[in-house]
Amino acid sequence: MSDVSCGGLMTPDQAAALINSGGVLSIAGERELLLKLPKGNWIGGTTPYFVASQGGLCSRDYVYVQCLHGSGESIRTYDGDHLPHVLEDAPEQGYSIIILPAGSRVLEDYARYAPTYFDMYIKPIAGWVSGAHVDEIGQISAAVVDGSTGDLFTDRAVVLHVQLPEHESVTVHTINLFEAGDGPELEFSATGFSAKDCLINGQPGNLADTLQMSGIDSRWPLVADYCGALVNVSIQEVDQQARAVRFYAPVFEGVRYRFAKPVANYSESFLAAMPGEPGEVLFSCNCILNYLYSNLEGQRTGQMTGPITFGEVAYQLLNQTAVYLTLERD
Amino acid sequence: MRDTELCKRLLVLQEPWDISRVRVDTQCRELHAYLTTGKPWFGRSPFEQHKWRWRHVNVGEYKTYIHATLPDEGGSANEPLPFLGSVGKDYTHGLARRVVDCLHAGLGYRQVCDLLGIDVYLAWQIRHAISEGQFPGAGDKLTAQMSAENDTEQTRPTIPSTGDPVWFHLLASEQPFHANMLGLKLLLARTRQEFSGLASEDAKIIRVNAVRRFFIRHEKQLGDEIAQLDKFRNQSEAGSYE
Repeated sequence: MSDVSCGGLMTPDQAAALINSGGVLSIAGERELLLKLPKGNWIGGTTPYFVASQGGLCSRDYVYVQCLHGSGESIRTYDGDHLPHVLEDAPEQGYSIIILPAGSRVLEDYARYAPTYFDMYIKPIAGWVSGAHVDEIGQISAAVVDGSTGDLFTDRAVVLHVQLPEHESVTVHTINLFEAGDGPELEFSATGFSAKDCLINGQPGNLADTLQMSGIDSRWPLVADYCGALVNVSIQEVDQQARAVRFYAPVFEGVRYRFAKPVANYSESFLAAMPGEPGEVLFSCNCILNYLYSNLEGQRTGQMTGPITFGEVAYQLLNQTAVYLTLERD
Repeated sequence: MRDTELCKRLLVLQEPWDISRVRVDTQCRELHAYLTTGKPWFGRSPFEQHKWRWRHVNVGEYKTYIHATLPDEGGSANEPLPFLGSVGKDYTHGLARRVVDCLHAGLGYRQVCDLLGIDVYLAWQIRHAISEGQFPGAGDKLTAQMSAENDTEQTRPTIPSTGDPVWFHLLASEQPFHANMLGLKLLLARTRQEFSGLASEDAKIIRVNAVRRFFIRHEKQLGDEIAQLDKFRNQSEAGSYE
């Protein structure tokens, strides 16, 4: 694997050398590989999927390392009770990278309540949800690692708070392939990861029934417009028997959603949406659903390299979105 | 001695106030103290509490910020405890007193702000409060003294104060507002969604403060958005705002 000095796909030994050199790192890989790494200034999460400069791949032998930039850092882990303070711990001048385990209570808490945390959207926070090989979902728990102690958690979030000098800042970006379609407007009476009845164009109806009757492809997410930012909520499962739909992120009460406009060629469209000159990218990640539906295995995505994840964080939890951080200098 | 206990003494807190946590940002030289009264907030989730953030008198070289939830509207919030501030203000009573003391000692207003590390936005808020006679002991003499310092006109801030109606119009409106930064889009969407349903004026001011803080932090990147604020103001003043 080439040029490990600035991160990328590498062997655990190469990653260990970077850790020992004092690098501030975010590392993705299989649990056994992460647990072999030495202690240092790093955080990690489990996933065997990556998009490297060589293209997308699933590997149980390599880890993906992202070298972060800053002038000081601290690593903390949070349970659900302390997670609301995550941005109070963040530096005034800097940014935070968060990794949360898929299927955990702490992820559910973040997904539901992060928009209400003090300093949310004011201090930059980005990150991802760790997972497992898709064949092993439900058998192996997703995990995160606090590299400063070597501790692995399945029920806590790990966060790297990084300080920046006064003349530097970061900006959080997303790449979203989807836009709201022309179909009905959906509103939910409660925030949650599943829904049965909702308002469909202002009239009570059942979401699962609507999906079935209209023949909507459940690969396409629900899309909400947040003052110009399109936020997806991906459909995990449609249970026709229970007439319920489960999502990978919560739908929020009071937010209006629509089904996404169908994408003709997912793979081509996704690659076309990659920014040509994104700037100085510090960190990026991309969704497992984009990886699977776009057939990203073996395909390159320019500077947008990093872990393939089971949820993305650009301030709040997102789905089917690529997230990246750029460094800005005055 | 624990850092919270030390900080409690440095800030001269009074019962029932205590410090739940302290964060020292060495990069920015800031000390953030999170205050608590130790009372449970019956019936209110942590997300419904109104968390205020005030700039306090420096501790050594460190700018000090107090974070606290005032118990109840009209309760002890009205007591001018030096380590607390008023609803809608960005400074503590203690900082206000220190400014007035410095002005009485003969320093110019700009000198006081430089000495205490007060930025242009806070400087204008405090100046306005003194002019309006909101500081006990300030008197007309100080108001006249500051009026004579016309050089501060050169540093008039571009971002409106918390009390400016333009923020309330922006957040209560459904009119399009074109934001370039993802953080501002999400913040505006969430705040607009909540704003109309907020019964308490305090809760609205807290939301305004959050949006205004975003503008202040990213002022250099928000030229278009600041210009749009002016449009909102003009529309409002012309009566075209709905």
